[in-house]
Amino acid sequence: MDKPFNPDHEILDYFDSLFAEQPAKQIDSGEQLAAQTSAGGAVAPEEPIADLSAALPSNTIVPARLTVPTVQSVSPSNTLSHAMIQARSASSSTAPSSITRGESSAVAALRRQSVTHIQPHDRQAALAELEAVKREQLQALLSQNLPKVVAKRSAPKTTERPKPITAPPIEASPIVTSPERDIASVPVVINPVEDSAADTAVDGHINNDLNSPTEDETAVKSGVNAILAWEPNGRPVWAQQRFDVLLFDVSGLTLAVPLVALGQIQQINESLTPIFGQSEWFMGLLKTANGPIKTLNTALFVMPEKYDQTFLDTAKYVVTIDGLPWGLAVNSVNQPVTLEPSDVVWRSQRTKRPWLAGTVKSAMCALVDIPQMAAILSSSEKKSR
Amino acid sequence: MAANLANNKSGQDPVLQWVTFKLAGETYGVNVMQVQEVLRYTEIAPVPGAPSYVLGIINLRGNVVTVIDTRERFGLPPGEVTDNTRVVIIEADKHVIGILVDSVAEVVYLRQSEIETAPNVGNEESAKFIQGVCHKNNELLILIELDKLLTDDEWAEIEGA
Repeated sequence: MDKPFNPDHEILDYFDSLFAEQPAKQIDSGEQLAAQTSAGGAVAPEEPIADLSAALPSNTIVPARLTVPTVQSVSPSNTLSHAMIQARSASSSTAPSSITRGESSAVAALRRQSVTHIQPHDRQAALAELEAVKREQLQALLSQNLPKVVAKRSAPKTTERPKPITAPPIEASPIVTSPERDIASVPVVINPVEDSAADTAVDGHINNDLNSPTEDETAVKSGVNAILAWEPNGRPVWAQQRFDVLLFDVSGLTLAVPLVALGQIQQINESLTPIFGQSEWFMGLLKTANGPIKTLNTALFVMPEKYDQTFLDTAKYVVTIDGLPWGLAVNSVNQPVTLEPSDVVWRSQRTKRPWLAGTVKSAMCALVDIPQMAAILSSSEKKSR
Repeated sequence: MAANLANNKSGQDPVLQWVTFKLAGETYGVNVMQVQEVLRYTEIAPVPGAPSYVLGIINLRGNVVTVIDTRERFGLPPGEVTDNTRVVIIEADKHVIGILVDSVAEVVYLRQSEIETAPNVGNEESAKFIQGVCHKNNELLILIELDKLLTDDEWAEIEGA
């Protein structure tokens, strides 16, 4: 018979064990390479989120950087999709330099540049803007002040390749700018409405541009890599200066995820379908308006030694990882907090908990390394295929 | 030109029919072409020494048909026999067997393009039975590949029993 689970003591003990691990001064090159590689592998081609926002049901709030790679068919759902984050730069092959609502030219430029070509000042400013917009929309979510969007059904999926989903024109969208930066040289272009590339694919007229990544797609991918990649100083790019994290509770343990890496928040309800023959930490597929989300039993994944079966009944939300069809089941979502890089005890020895980027004593939380976690999830799936 | 495109569409994206059934609260589908008939639950005669996933045999119009415990095969918790319980007679890998299900729902039409790859996390053998997943009628349909339900050795074992 297992010892009864006492969240008050067990979690504190567990958290103490997290702090007990000695951080390294600087991340070693091999790990750094792995982190950067994993960041690259974790990021899927982006789709214009502003378009998705128009395609979702009326009770859905669109996340800022919603990138479910294989989503083609958007159908009304009885699930309550929560949203957080802001609209992001559109990245279709037809509008390489377009910018949609919610992101400034600097953010878009960040996404287009590789990590080695970004000026530190511009990158930090862009990240700050990205976080600011995400925080604003997250606050809207947390206060249940959910803006309505119009439901629209898009064309069914026809191929494995991710394709842009089109939407009506976007009205005046807020573009956050910094007074210090000159954005006049960066053209702000709103994507014109096109009739979907998916229809073109159905008709057998697949545009060659869709078969190979365009320069812009590559640039966007490397831009996201730039955000999630790790610097030689042992911290990720987004943590070079003050940054925002979202806190959520998992069986008494508080986890933190940087806002820049978040996708959306979904409620767990009857639409979570377990699939037999999977690992125990795989809870099932959660049906969303944007496609099925592979839901991770976060409690079992991060602390199997403290796992309590009641988590299956108490988990209420799924926090999705931006760019991946994976989500973390959590008990509750808390307010985002702003952290200084020095608040975090950064880890580089990842032999025991590769998903743990560091710990934050002030918030008593564990900071999740999203690229590493994504790499673990992806590799676990690849291995078993 | 339009006719050619239509042909291409149907050729590239065929519509398949799937018989759906319930098992442990979830909905599964099997290719209708492999379903021979659906029977109400009848007494199943146990076979001593048979594998755990074999419930027993039934007499189907003079033919002996082995009935598989689908829950056991899929690694699902055992369930009770109810009025809705059915034995679906299928042809898999050139063999005829019955699979016990909680209930049979309907026949649905799915385009090939609607079928998505199922997650494959872990090393459970039963994962190979899943051909794909699909959203239909506001629920997730798990499509079963019946030809992989038993291996050659297992077929031989069943027939030997």
